[in-house]
Amino acid sequence: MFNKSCPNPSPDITDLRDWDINILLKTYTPEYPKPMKNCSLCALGPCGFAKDNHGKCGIDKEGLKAREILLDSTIGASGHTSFARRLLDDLISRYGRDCPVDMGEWVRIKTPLITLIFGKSPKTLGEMEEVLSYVERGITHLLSSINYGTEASGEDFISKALHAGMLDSLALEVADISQISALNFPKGASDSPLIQVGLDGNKKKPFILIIGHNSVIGTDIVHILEEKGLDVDIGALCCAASDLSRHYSGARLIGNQADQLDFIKSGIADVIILDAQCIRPDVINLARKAGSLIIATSPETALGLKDFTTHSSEKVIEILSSERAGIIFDKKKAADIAINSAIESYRTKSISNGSTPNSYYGSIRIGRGPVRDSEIRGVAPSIVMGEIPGIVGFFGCPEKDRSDIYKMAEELLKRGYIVATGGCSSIDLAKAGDIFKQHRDTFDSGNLINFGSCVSASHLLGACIKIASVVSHRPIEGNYIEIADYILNRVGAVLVLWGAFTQKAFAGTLGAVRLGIPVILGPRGKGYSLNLSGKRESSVFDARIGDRMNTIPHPSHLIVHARNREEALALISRLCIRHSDTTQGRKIKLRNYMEFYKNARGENPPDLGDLIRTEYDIPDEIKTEILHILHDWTPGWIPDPTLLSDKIRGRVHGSY
Amino acid sequence: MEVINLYRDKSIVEKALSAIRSISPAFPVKIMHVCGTHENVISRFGVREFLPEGVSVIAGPGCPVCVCPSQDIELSREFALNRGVILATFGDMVKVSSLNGSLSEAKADGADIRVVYSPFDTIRIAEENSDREVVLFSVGFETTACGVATMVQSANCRNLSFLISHRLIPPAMEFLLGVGDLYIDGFIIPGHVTTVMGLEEYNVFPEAYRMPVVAAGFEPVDILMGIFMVLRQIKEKKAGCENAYTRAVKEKGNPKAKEAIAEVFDVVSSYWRGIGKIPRSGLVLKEKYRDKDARYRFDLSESEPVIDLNPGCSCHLIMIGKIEPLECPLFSRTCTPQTPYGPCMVSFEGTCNAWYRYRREY
Repeated sequence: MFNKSCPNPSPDITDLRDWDINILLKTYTPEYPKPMKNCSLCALGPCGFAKDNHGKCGIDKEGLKAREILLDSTIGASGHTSFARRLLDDLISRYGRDCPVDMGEWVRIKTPLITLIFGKSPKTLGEMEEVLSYVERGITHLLSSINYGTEASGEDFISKALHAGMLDSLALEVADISQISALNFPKGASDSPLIQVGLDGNKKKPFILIIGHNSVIGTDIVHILEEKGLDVDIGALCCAASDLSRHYSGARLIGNQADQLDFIKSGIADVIILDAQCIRPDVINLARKAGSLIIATSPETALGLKDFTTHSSEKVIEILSSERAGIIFDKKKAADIAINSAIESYRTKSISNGSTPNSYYGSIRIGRGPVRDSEIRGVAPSIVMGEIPGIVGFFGCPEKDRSDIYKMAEELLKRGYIVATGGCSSIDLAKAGDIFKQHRDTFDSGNLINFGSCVSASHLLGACIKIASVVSHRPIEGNYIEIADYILNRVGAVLVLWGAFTQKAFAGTLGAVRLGIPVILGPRGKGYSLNLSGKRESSVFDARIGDRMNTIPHPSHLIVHARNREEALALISRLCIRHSDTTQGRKIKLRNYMEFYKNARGENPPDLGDLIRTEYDIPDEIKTEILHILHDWTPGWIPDPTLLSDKIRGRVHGSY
Repeated sequence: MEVINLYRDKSIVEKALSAIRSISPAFPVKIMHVCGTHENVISRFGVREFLPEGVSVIAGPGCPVCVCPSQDIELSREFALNRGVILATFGDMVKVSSLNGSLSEAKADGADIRVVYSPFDTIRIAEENSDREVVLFSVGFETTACGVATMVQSANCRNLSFLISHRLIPPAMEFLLGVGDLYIDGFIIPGHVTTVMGLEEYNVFPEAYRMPVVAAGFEPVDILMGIFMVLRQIKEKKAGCENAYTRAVKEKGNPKAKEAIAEVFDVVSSYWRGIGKIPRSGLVLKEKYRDKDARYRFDLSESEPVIDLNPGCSCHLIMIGKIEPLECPLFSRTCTPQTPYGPCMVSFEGTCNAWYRYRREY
């Protein structure tokens, strides 16, 4: 079944267990910072674990905590998978199963995550369904593991949670590549146009607001408006807006999910269309009070509303004028009804000159989608050599204080990191200042790239896979473990989910981690209750020599949370350090780490001795100072790093 | 001639081989050289055939023509075809193709392209054609760079400018050690590059990577001595930077040549065809010589390299030593020196060209 050229296509939930348990968890210890709560997962509970270390079912504390992790990650993965399925169904119904996967002429590896995990690259939307079926199957099995009397081992729960993360990343890629192909979103072009974030002044025309993720409802509305020549404003929050603006530059990207409450209360929207995910549970009441109509379009977010899907459009418009809210699962019908209702509402609503809760915030680049092959060739050697100090991705949920993420991005860009973003985080950056105007968006040192919505985070993972593939020339088809090992040891990339709090963001965290990309969570991050902390007594193989090299892990952690941005910057620079850094690359990274750490703690980092392999690694300007403070330090060497014993050439140095 | 004969003497070769056999370990050893001339010597004299089983010598990216990125070739064609200049370059560069064609094809389309055997020949061309712009498309490693540097410093022809495509060997070697799966046990470094630059800048390899490094000359005995010295380091478990080409290479190289390079060029990141952009691996004219930089004089910026190699070409694997020419399905079939598909078959210094010419079956 597994052959050398495609070792692990479509892995089942335990097929990559060896990588998870015998490699990752032997190097990184799971820690559970949240206090343990009672378990009420079955009718035998609630189990308090206060008197003994086992629940009534027999599960131990470790198992219980890890089971929570699996539950959270599977919920999150199901969110993106369900979204991908709805989106794909909508796109196929409009554009056909034979609609080709089209990533443009600049991208040869069109579906890096799918090719890596599934083993082959789909050529049409119809073939994408096969990938989603694999994901859905996996999620079912993972959920099944949580059942009473099924999985019990803490390590296996973590392994399965990592698998959920991997499936999540697959769903992200299915979603984004399907919509890029079918809706002709940007396919990796640089110098993506800048658009405004926010709304200006007073309202002058009917306004439809979309909250959710599915771009199809927005594009359906746009197509009707264009067909009929109607003058209606359409805007959205966060992912719906990010993706709509990739298709229609006239769409208003009015904010992210942090703005949801303000915009609903303002009554500025004549019609609010709800899709799924990141929608406030009190949206119906708030919208009714503000005078906006609500149309819910996703079965996942029914919100107790009446279903008008089978009614005629005229009937629905009439009903909505009194009911003020309802469900219409047929998106084309919902689009038509939304437009007509908005026009009618604008004409009759007493708050017709409703003002916006904000003025223009700033500008953001339209999500550009994938990284081009030529960009990968331009940066891959420098990333592996460490001389571009790292790739940092800011994704995840918004934070109230946007200045943290802005200042972090600014500082990193100044120092030559590649900074990528998407989703609510990208909009936080745009709201905080002019950072997108100040930086180009070619995937290169010192540049800021907006990939698009949350599902576009798949392009960052995809870029890491492409870097590994371009430099190592290892095949990627179904070759997850080898590529993850390469990324972990040689590709200095870090994800920062600064404001993340949803299950989806947690699933995204685990998807990155399994692929060898560490994640820093913001102050809210400890609410996720999992850290993966590097063990001091660790080692890596030198594949060339065959020796084990005793060393702290690089990256030093896989999941860690930062209390503030100063700490985060120190962690970012630290977690970008990789075994394959050249001496010049290590100098650059150490310089950054020392400066950030001093800024955070007021002193030199205590672990310099672990990071300096030979004197060549020490920045020239501080060599004397550093050598003076290194106690009991013995030089090592730069290995050809791997955690996989079968990548070792098969001899120990010097043995005859 | 006497010196050459000495370094090809059969009895000395046999002694060298015997020494290699006596010191070879029981485990496989892979030694990489990074010089097209070394590959020519190795292929021509069949060095690989005589090595013990388990000792292999592979070719790295040591052919400057092969690693010259297609966008530089495109720029040179732009100068030649559309800017009315006389474009001077070295022989092999005329034959190697970008995706849109080669300089020889541009010549067939009417471009004025002149082959020079020394960069200094370009001065004569510029003097004889003072009413026309002359551009030297200079492709090479450090050895070429030092000659061109002195030319930039001294040439007074106002109609002469330079399209520089120079690369540096040590960063490429560092890159190779980060690629993974190559399992290089030691390097043989080019004798002429180290004649210019010395051995100092290679010390990082033994000291930080535990990688034996030996500078070797260009005769069979030179190569065999280089191999022997690498193997000796491996056996003694001591990595160092050694000199097997003492008749030309000095520890500090040629200080005047190095001074000229440092005075004329800045070190930048540079594209290597089939590999990507390696940091610190290229040279550009310093700002004070910008008026002699053809890119600035003619206000031409590089286009983004959309495609680097023809689809199906394996040069990107051959030039990093991941595969040998015989493993390429096109080698000696579709791809020959007469009908080259990739750059490694074009140049005399290309690995595939050398293997083809000397027709060894390994």
